[in-house]
Amino acid sequence: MSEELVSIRFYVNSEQHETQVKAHDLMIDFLRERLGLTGTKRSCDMEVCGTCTVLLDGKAVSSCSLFAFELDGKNLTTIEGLEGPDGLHPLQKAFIRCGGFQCGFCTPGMILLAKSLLAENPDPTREEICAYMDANICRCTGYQMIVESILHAAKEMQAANR
Amino acid sequence: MAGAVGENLERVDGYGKVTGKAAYTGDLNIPGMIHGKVLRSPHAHARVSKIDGSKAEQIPGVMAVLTRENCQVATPYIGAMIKDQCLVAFDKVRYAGDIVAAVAATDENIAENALDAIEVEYEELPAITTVEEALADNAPLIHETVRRARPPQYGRGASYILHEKSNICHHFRYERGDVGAGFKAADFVFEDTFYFPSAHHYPMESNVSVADFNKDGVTIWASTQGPFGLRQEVARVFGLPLSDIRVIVPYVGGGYGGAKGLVPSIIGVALSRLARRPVRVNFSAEENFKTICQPRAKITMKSGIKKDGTFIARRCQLFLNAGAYVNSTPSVAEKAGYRGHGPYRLPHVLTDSYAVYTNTVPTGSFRGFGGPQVAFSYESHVDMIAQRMKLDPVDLRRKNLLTKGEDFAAGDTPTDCDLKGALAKVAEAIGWGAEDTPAKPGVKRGKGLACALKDGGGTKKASHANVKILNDGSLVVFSGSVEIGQGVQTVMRQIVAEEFAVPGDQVRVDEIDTRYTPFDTATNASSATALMGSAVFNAAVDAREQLLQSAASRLGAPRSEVKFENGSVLCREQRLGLADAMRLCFGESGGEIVGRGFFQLPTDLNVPLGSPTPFWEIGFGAAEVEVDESTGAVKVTKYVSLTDAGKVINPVQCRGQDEGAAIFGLGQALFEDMVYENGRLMNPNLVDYRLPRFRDLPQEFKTIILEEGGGRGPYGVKGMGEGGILAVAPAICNAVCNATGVRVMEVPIKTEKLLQALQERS
Amino acid sequence: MITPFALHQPRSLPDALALLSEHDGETKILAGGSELLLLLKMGLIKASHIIDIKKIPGLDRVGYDPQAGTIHIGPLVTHRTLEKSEIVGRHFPLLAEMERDLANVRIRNVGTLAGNLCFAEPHADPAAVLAVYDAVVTLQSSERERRVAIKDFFMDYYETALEKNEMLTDIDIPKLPDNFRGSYLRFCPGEWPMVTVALLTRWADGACAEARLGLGCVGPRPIRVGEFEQALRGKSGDELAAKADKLAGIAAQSSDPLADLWGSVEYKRQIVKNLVRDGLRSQCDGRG
Repeated sequence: MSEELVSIRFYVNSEQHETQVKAHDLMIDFLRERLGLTGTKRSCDMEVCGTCTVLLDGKAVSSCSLFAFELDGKNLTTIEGLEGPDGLHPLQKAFIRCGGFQCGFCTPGMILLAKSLLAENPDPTREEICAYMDANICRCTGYQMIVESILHAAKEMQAANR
Repeated sequence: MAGAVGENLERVDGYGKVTGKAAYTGDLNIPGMIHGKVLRSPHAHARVSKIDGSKAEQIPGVMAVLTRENCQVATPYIGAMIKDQCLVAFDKVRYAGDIVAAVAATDENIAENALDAIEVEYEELPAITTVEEALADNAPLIHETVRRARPPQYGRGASYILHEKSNICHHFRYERGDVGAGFKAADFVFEDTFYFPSAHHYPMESNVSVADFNKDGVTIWASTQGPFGLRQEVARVFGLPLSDIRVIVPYVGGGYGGAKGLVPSIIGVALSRLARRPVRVNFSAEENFKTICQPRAKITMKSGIKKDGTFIARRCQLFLNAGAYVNSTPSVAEKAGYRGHGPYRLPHVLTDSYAVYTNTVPTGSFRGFGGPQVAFSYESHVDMIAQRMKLDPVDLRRKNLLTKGEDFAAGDTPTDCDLKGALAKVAEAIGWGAEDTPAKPGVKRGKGLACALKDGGGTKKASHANVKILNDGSLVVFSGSVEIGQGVQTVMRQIVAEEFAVPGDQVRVDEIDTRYTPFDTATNASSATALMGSAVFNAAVDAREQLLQSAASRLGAPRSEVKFENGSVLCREQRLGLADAMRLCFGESGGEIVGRGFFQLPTDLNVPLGSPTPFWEIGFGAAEVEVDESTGAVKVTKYVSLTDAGKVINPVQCRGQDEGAAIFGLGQALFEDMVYENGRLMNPNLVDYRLPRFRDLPQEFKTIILEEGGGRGPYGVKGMGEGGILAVAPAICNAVCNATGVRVMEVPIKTEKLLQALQERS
Repeated sequence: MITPFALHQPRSLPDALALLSEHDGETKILAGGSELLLLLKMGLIKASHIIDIKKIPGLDRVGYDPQAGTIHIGPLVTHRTLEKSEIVGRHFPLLAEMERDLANVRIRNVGTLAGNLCFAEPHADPAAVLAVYDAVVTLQSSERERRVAIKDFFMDYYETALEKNEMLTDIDIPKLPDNFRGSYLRFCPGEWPMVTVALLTRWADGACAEARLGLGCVGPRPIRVGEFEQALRGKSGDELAAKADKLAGIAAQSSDPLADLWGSVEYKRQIVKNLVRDGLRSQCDGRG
């Protein structure tokens, strides 16, 4: 079986890319190895843990279980895309301030998942946060400080929007 | 002021981790790097009669095939107290997953596929998976020869008993008084047996390393908690001087005691030597499960009690299923045994603790290091005693808990915390004795609590540190404590910032590279803040002292007239900031000051374990649970965790460690267990091995972190990180009993068993 | 490691179907891919050809036909779309409820209901709900189009009525009259559900006029428990609530679960019984 190439054109963190990938290349490997975006991490490799979470057209997806060619025509956000010219995203600041990370390995995926939550529900309750964020696993924090980080970021983001 | 101890100084690793810029071992791209994969035995126990890697070597892209035939090692054996594991199987494979060979190739796919071309012939042997089987008469020996390091140096009351020609690889005994007499004098004697699971650490980052064996020596980038121990093992195995080996540790994505980095590194070095290229060995999640786990425990507690509830005698017997290779499990057996009688006044104690080989996944240290296993046992046992004797469980504990200053074990550091006060705090926090709101139909609700402690800080661990003052007054800390998420880099920065009265960002904590970083035994045992913290504190004080002496000399003043205050050198009327003081000392050519610090507690054979415990790490907990009568599922609705940090250096980090430890404990109480069938691990993945998730977070979850002072570390600091896990399983099981009348003797709680028990009761 | 395959990205349904017919050997349809990629990565299946249908317009529609009273769900409709759909929430509340609990949000963002059905993973949520709704799926090949009732679509563990050259192109669910009430219960101690129960009842004049009970994850296919459904007919709410345990026993006996890490056969049957009993009692509440 020859390894045919697929042409793809897409945005990553607002930067346009046009390239070719092998059909069977996985998105996570493409991001880490071809684009050098090593912020996205691999852990369980079976869509259970969410460590590999990226935002594809704003939706939280598992990059370990998507082909790279699925990027075609899409807008991808990785953790590298959150810090802007004005500094860290409120979620990033909140995670630092409120202890939302420890070893940090689940953190990129966790922050992106939280970003997608707040995009849909800017003022979530603790229960809503737990129900949504249940998608991703953290082995270090015990979760409560992640919830508090998200609540803090939500408040900051709402205040900024007024 | 920012940087002061007690403040939430922003984490050193914060920016890197929230932006994805923090580099972990798997993110590194070492020039020329190729990829290693390992071949694992499908059999739990077999002789390797033949192995031939030649066909695999022919495959294009394959740069090396490692088998016992071409190992080129001074010794193939690795291990902690017992050198029992070969880097690749030499004579036998001893568990399903044991490594028999490895391949290095230009890409992962080629390496993976090449494994199929390695020819191995096995002669299957009878496999043993339980302690009972391993101890039966005529049980096959899993290790015909046991390469033990010299026997441990125990002191008062503790002894090591050697078993020849046995699957018992370690037997620790602790005794004081006379348990026989104690039981005779008791009004009641109760005996209960408990079971604690083999859990897997499951750090989110898998076991990974890159090794480069070249003409200059060996460089290893490894995700490890013990870079110096790793260096030592590599030196031994490959017959090299320590000075030729360099271990660099990037950020580590979770450790929890799982001996991370060791196996991939040893394999990687061997492959790199053959391939003459750097080799990355990165285990998959499934392989991590098959690399190491916590030893499963069966623990029998027998207590003699007076009718007024006074504890008199305790006999503990612990059997740890140590797996095929044991890493630190002999020490776990020792520590679990030592801790087995709990935080109570007991004049008569006899404890025997065994680590037993079986043909299952290798075991080793795991957060809590034997503490959770015995705490589950003795705190469930105490509640059962209270129930049988119709005594209040809090009163029974209060009556027998050690008072601050009393000995846990004669000869060791006296207890350094108000345990009764701690008990009162958790009881109050959970609403013990308060009127409960009724549970909704179909659900039973109850409360339980538990008190536990462990000797914290390890035994005789050695920590060295350097603190440099640079020309411009900026400071660099060289400390071998690995940042595994606990925030240790930030703690060291805060200590130095405090001692020099400078803002935190004037203190850099340098990365760990054993070429430059001073020696540290390992990052474990909740020790870094107290032990390495002491070394760093001493180094800071030493650096400051050197500066003052040099300044005094330059200023022509006696040393007694120079002092350091508020970040400046003061001499008579002169006040110099650090930069000016350095310029004064070294002039325009520049220079630097290197302060050195060291901390290690001495050997003392008056102490049972041979050296005093640096501090006592307590873990008290109280839980409220709801048991679903339709399914047997247990939900923890409220949890209170209490520990004593001695002194809180960084509040957010302390809280994070305690909460994280508590949820870790929740996993073992409710979900986590390595399941075997016919010697094969059935659940080496996250679908079949359940970790705690957001849905398991109790609605009310609180930590109480005491600052009772008196710790061995700077500012009276003790240590934490493991205390939080100790009380969880017993508090939950005590709450389940309170809710339903069903006493759970084995964790994780099986919903099926609980449902059955509930139905039998109704 | 996933072995290389030929990727096809047809722009029309006929093209996709033609490709399906054309290629011998292992040919797989790719919609969301969550199930497909898991099996490919584990090496449990191999694909020589993968037909990505995501470039075909119109396959991601959720269409409600108020005249016919049916909803049509296209093969590219994700779980997340169904979860959030206003139409589904209003007319097919049990479906919306099931979708909310399914897996996790990442999988729901990408995974399709159609894909879930086609893989026939026995530990999945949708089957029991579609069974009580009497859903009908459309299977199309280049040669023909046929409609298959959901009870005939699932055949065995991981086996459906799909022929090698067929693709599932529509899921159609008839709306139930408004006086139906539904409960979706599940027990999910691990990652995938152990037992799923979908219960619908319709009441008239204080008695149960119709009942539908679907059980999932407890056999090679989802089950409708006819005996249970019959036994409820004509009985009052009080009578049914009093006999709930016994009636639920009928459901438990009809189930055929497999023992695994999470429980024995007896335990799983007990869970079926308890969940059905709990569901029935809550349906009977306030219905004389």
